[in-house]
Order: sequence, then structure tokens, then C-alpha cells
Amino acid sequence: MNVLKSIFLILLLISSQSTLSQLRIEITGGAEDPINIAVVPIDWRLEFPQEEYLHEIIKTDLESFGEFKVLPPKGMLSFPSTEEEVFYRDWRLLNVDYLVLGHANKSEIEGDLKITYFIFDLAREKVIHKAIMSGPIKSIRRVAHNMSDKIYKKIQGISGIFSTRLAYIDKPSADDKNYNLRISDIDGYNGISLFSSPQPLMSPNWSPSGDKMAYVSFEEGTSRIFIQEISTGKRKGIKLEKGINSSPNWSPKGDKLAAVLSREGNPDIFLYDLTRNSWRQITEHFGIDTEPDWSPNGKSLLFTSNRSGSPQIYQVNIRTKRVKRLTFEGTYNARARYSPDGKSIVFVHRRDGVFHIATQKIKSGKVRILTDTSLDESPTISPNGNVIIYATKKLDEDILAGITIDGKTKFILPSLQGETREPAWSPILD
Amino acid sequence: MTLTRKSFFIILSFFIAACGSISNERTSDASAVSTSASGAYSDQGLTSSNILYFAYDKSDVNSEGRAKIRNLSKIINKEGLSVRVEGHCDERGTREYNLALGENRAKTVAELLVINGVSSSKITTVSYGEEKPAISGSNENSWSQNRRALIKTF
Amino acid sequence: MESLSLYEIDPIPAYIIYEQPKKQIKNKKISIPKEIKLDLQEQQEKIVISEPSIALEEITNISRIPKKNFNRDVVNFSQSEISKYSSIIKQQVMSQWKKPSAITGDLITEIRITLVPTGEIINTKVIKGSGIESFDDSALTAIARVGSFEGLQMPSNLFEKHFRQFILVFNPNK
Repeated sequence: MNVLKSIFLILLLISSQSTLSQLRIEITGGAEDPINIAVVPIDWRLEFPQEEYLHEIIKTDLESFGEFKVLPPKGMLSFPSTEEEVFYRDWRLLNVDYLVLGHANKSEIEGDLKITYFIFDLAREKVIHKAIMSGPIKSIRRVAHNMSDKIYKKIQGISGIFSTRLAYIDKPSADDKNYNLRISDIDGYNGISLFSSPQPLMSPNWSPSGDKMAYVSFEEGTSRIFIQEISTGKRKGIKLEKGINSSPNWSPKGDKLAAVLSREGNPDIFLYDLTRNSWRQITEHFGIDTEPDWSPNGKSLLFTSNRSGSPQIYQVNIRTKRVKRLTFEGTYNARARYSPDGKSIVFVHRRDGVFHIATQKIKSGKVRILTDTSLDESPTISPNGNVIIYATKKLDEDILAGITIDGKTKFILPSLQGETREPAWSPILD
Repeated sequence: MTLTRKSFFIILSFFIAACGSISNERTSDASAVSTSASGAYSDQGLTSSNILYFAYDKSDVNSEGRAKIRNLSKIINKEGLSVRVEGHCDERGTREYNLALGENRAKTVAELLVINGVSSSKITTVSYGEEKPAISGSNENSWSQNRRALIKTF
Repeated sequence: MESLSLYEIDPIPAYIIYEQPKKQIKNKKISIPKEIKLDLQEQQEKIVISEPSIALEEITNISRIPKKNFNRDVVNFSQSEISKYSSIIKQQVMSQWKKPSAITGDLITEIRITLVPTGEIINTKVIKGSGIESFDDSALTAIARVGSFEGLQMPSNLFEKHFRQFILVFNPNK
């Protein structure tokens, strides 16, 4: 028995030795190029012609942030619609990394269509995703965005944001004397006006379930926070207090709003309980405390305060009310938002008189300026943490622009109606 | 004479047109739009004696401003008027922070009115932050005209 | 873009996920796009070898190597030689690795590679996953895209000792 044991141990030693001595090569980075993907026009097996082409909407979606390069149909050698029709070598010759194909049929559900689709990894010659997507024919764009989300998630590993929406505010123009609170799909389609007023509107903020919007309206002659149900248009003002009532920010559970009241003599952070309709004071300081943002875990708030002499970002624990300063670089840091993982903040940072959007890992304290535009404000982060949309100016006009968190891809939002400001990204809507 | 009458009617019609066009049927809790305030929503109808200007990021009133306040206070007290002070900022910086700065400006002016004998019960203050600029443009000329407090009497 | 007045907006149905596709939600006119993921049949991971005949030849050649080579004392190759070929391998893998740009966090995947002396990759195995499937997948895809390493002509004992089988550590946070 002992002999066997020692033989076993020796063998174990030898085998472990060989693993230890095995050469390890570190791959520390990859190619900066976008991922090449081909989306074959879906084989349409319904009687009536398609009004919009799925592959075109998916192409626009995937190319939005510089992460993908989508091969247009005219570059394709064949149009397979099933696994059997795929000749891997042909696609690899076109330098394509991934392939999406499928066919659309009528669904058993009235008014719906059914798309069976596949995603291929061409280098490994295997199907990495196979599914049936169903949805209303009337909302083909929505179905396409859903497919883009699935493709994105499979390849990038994080949620796609192609089915999300953006809220923003239009200011009065020659065509429309009113301020408008609008929402549209993230690609700019299907824009609707939620509320219209000759008096200013500010600070739109989505509820975590995406069904309500909180915002500030001056329709009563002073700032007041309103909550509006998006699908019905029903709105209600929350309990008005003396002075400023503004900067509403929904809690992750949707049961409270963080906001700013100056009823005690100067702007402080308060919480509004939506069930009890009551206010509770969180910060108490003679300076300006404003722009609260709720942490993803619901335990703390970011806010802007000038208590040290100029605007800086602070964090307050809601339970203990302990305040901690987060920013130390520069003399103007304001309007911070948590990243979805709660580890970083994105905020407005002034350097050499220019207002940029910057980011900082909360722990390290190091500021990284993202934008090279100026007069930047109101950053909003995509729910997957990858993209930031913000307000800025171009030739004296208010526009919305965007940048990926790595700073590599920059874009301007498709021209929306008039001059727009205060973008707010919806949560993942489902 | 006719000119003043004409301009009065023009201004009046402007005020009427500017009164809120929001349907109130959908609001359940919101109070009705106050008609007295609705006429005081713009810079229209104000002369330079009602407008005070401020330095960037500051809410202290200069000597010119204090003189204006002194003069206005006399008229306000004599005619028993009510006052609405509006604080405004230029576009630089974040919107909500500017709402707070605007309030500082409005409050500073209100305090000076009180010092000059106006009853505080007659004064309301509002901040519009950067939301209602007097003039558009991203340059110091425009910005300096937007950093203001308006003293509206009625 | 038209702006609809408040009164014209169709109610958006509540976001209810329902199990049976046939069930209709009362009063809701529009259904929501949903997806049913289908099972992928267990596919054998194909290592793409462009010249299978050569690979086979190499494998049979190995068996003909005289035994005395294996009985030799362990020869220590200079670090510079090892790192020279390691760099070649690293560079070729990196140029083919389309790392999921959106993933952050400290992810590490370790993959064991088996080669034949021509540089063909004949086996890959994830020995330590990162926990994120698409990160591991992207590493495997990168290796598949390389297919065969170029420029790895080296003394056969160096190859046997270090490069017939080695580990690629995908660690972008270094």
C-alpha cells in the first residue's frame, strides 16, 4: 500500500512539475479594429413585402459605437438562409468574423412574425447562437433592435442598448414657442412630446421601470417637480415647498425621489417618499448642495456641493448621513452620475475654463477627461455603462453628442427637433 | 401719447399670449396656474432700472445695483406694490447648480430690498438658473447680459 | 418628426412576460418582441487546418525521432530564445484578438495550445475560464483565426520543451 502511495505521489509530483514548467505567454491586448460582421438580408417568407429591412436597422445599430463594421449585402458572395448554405471559407475570404442569417415566417399569433436566426463564429466554424425571435409586424423596428441587442450581447458579453430610449428637452424656437419634454428611440425614431409648456422644463429622470418620468416645470411660476406616467400622460406635482424644488432622481427601487429643496434657507438634498408623500432632509449645510444621483445599490447618493469653496462631488450615506468628498482635481466638478456598476462616476469637469465630461474611478480619485468639446453638461450613461450622451454646443446651438467610455468613438445625435438639451437615457426597457 | 398707448397694448397682448397654454385637465394634484405671476414671465416691460447685473459666479450687488434698489424701494413702499425678484445665470456650468446660484442672486437682492424698508412679506424670490437667458450667444457679451436679477413689481 | 399631443398616444402595454405564445393580454394591442433560444447541438470545435496532410506527416515524423533525444539531459535554452518565439506567438494572437470592447473588469482566461512543428494549432483547451462566456469565446476565436503560427522554425528540442504545448494567458488588464 505504501509503495503504491509513493508511486502515486511521485507521479503527481512529475505531472504538476510539468504543468508548472509549461511556458505561459501573456496576451495583454487585442486588435483595435472593429469586429467584422455580416448580416445577411433575412429570407422573407411572408406574402406581403417588408416595409423596412431588418438587416439595415441591425447594421445601423451595430455600427453606432464603432465596435462593429457590418458588411453590406452588395459585398456578399452568397445569401444563405440556413446553416447548410454557409461556406465558411467564402466568408473568411471576405474577412468577416461573424455571420448572422435567418428567415422570417408568419407567426401563430395574429399580427406577429417569427424570425429564426443564427449567429456564426466563422473562425471556429460554429453556430454560437440560434433562436426564434417573435414580435409584431407593425413594430418591425422594435424586432430589429431586439435582434441587435441579442447579437451584441452574444459577441460583446454585455447588454445591447438598441431598444432603449432617450428623453430630452427642446427649447422654444421659431417654429414652436414652447419647451417640450420629448422621448424617442435611441436611434432618434418614434419621437413623441410628453409635455409642452411656454415655461422652462428641466431635469428629466426616468423611473427604474421606465414607465414614468420625473421632471421640473416652471408652469406655476416657480420650480416644481412633476411625475408623469408615460403611457397615459397622467401627471402630478409632488408636494411643493418654498424655494427651489428641483433635480429629481429616482431611487433604484422606484419608491423614492432624491431632490433638492431650499426651504431651509439654502439648497440641500432631500428624499421624497412617494408612498407617504413626505420629505426627509439628508444634507444640512449652509452652502449649495444639489444634483443628487442614487447609487445602484440604493445606499448612497452622489451630489454637488460648494461647501469647500467651489463645486465638488461628494457622496453621502443615506442611512448614516456621513458625507465624503470624491473629487479633488480642479475647481469645478458637478452633476455626477454613477456608472451602472457603481465603481465610477461621470461628471462635468472644468479645466482651463473649459467644461468637459470626465470620468473617475471612485476609489482612485484620478480624473480622466473624455470629451474634447466644450460647454459640455448633463452627461447620461447607457444602462450597459458603455456609452455617454451629453449636451454641448455646436456653432452656438444646443446639441446632443455622445462618446464611448473608452473615448474612442464620438458621435453627434441625429438632428432632433430644434435645439436640444438635458438628455436622459432610459433603463433597459422590458 | 398714442405711441405709449400702442406699446402698452402690444405689451399687454404679449402678456396675455404668454399665459400658460397647458391643459390643466390632466393634473390631479397641481395647483392652478397663478394668473398674477403669469404676466411676469419675461424681461419684457422692464427697464434698466429693474435689472441688476452680476459678475461671473458672484451674487454680490455692486454700487450701481444698490442705487437701483434704493430707488425702487421708495416707489414700492410709496405705492404699496408687491415684488417678485428673479435670479438668472449665464449658461456656463451645470443647470441645477445654476438654479442655486440664481437663487443666491435673487435672495441677495431681496435682502437689500428689506434693508431699504420693503416688507419681506411683499417679496417673492424665484430662480430660473440659466433657463431664461435675455440673449443667446456663447460669448462674454451675451453672458454678461444674462447674469442678472430682475425686480418685477405689481 | 411629428410631435403627437398627449391625447393621441396609444397606451403602451405593460411589460408582462408571458409563457405561452398563444395567450393574448387583454386590451393590449401590441405584443412585445421576444426570443426563444434554441439549443445548439454539441458541435465539435473545429480547428481549421489548411494543410491537414502536412500536419499528419509531422505527427508521424515525431514518432520516428530516435529515442536518444528524449534521454538527453534537460537542455536549458536561453531566455532570449524563448522570449523571441513567445513574442512572435504573442504578436500573432494579439493581432487577431477582437476583444469585446465593452467588457471591463479583471478578466483572465488561460488556454492551453498544442502545436505541431510547422506552427499549426491542433488543439486548444480552456484550462481556466474568466467566467464570462463571450470573453473566453473571443480568445478561442482569436486562436482559431491565427490557425497556424508563422515564423516558428526553431531547433526541435526547443520546440519539444516549450512550444509543443504552452499556455496563452489572455489578460488585458495588465
